[in-house]
Amino acid sequence: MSAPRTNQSQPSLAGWFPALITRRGPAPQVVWMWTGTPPANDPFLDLTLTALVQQPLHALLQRATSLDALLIHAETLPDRRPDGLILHTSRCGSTLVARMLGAVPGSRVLSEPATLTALLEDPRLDDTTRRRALRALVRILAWSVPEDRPFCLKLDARNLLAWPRLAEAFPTTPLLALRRDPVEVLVSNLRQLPAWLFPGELHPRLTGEPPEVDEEEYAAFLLGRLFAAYRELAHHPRTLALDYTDLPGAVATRVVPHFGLRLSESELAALHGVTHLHAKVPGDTTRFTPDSAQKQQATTPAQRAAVARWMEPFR
Amino acid sequence: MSAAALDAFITLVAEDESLRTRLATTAEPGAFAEACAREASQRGITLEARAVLERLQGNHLLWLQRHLA
Repeated sequence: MSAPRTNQSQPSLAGWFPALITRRGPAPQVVWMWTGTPPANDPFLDLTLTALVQQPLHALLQRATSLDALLIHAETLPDRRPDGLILHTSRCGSTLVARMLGAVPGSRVLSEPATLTALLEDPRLDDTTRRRALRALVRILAWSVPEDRPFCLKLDARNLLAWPRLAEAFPTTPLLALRRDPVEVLVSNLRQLPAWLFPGELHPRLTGEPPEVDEEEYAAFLLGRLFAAYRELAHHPRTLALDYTDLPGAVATRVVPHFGLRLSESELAALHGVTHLHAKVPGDTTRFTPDSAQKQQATTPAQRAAVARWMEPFR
Repeated sequence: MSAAALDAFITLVAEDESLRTRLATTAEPGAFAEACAREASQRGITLEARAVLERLQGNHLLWLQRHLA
């Protein structure tokens, strides 16, 4: 089987979207997918691209380049930095925030680009290359967003562990840190385990050496690392730190001004217009049902003990 | 040789909206690969449907393994 071949000369990458960055081999390879137009503000970018790959046309229209090609292509685009970066401890309302901001006409709010995670965690990159690549990638993700329209990135929860790298790469960008009651975060994750909570998925250089415990407690350990990172990030001068219980009201009253967004009355109405919907379900029909009490009641004594041991100390 | 022909065809498709529109109507991979070979032939590019299918499989595999270190 043959994957897309690396083109050594610099090809035109207009219309191509950086879909993934390989983690194997001696150096990162950028795999571009032809999309023609930028992806929409869907709940998760990965799902959008996965749906495209199911179509033979988009499965075929891929090409691989070196990281240098990413840097060169970025230079052809306006130097757009994000208006805000959304970091979170997982399952704490970040998708709702992204969906609300993404409801503003003309905005671009991309959720959890896997390419950002790849660059943030790649041990093959030195600090300077990583910083340059992060800026180049984000410039490309801002592809065609008008200067006066919001452009925000909601990161993968695991990216919270690498927040200093993001803060350094984007030294003027406002940061939003979100968290939720640790019991509710653990219960939500155990119900639907993200890939990074599987043992061995996150390298110890990101988390510290994991304890030898069962899977439930391992999840609590990793989530505890996120809470520890949240606590540090919350004290950064560019950070607005919020709790799940502050949502959705704080999006208009605190996040929008923190990100420096100037929205009209109708744009604010659009932002509020999606708060009743289930943020993680694409489309506009599934209603959101509050579930904090239910999650608290469903927690087992072992889960509460795991929270007390690994997460509460960093609350 | 077939990889180079396929890369040339991919570049061509990316630049030709009407060709993309035609190819996008074929969702079944085998039929899609045959359609690619026909379109390539009309443009003087010798492209085997098998090479297209192999590239599709390779790209799918790459996508499935995208999170693996």
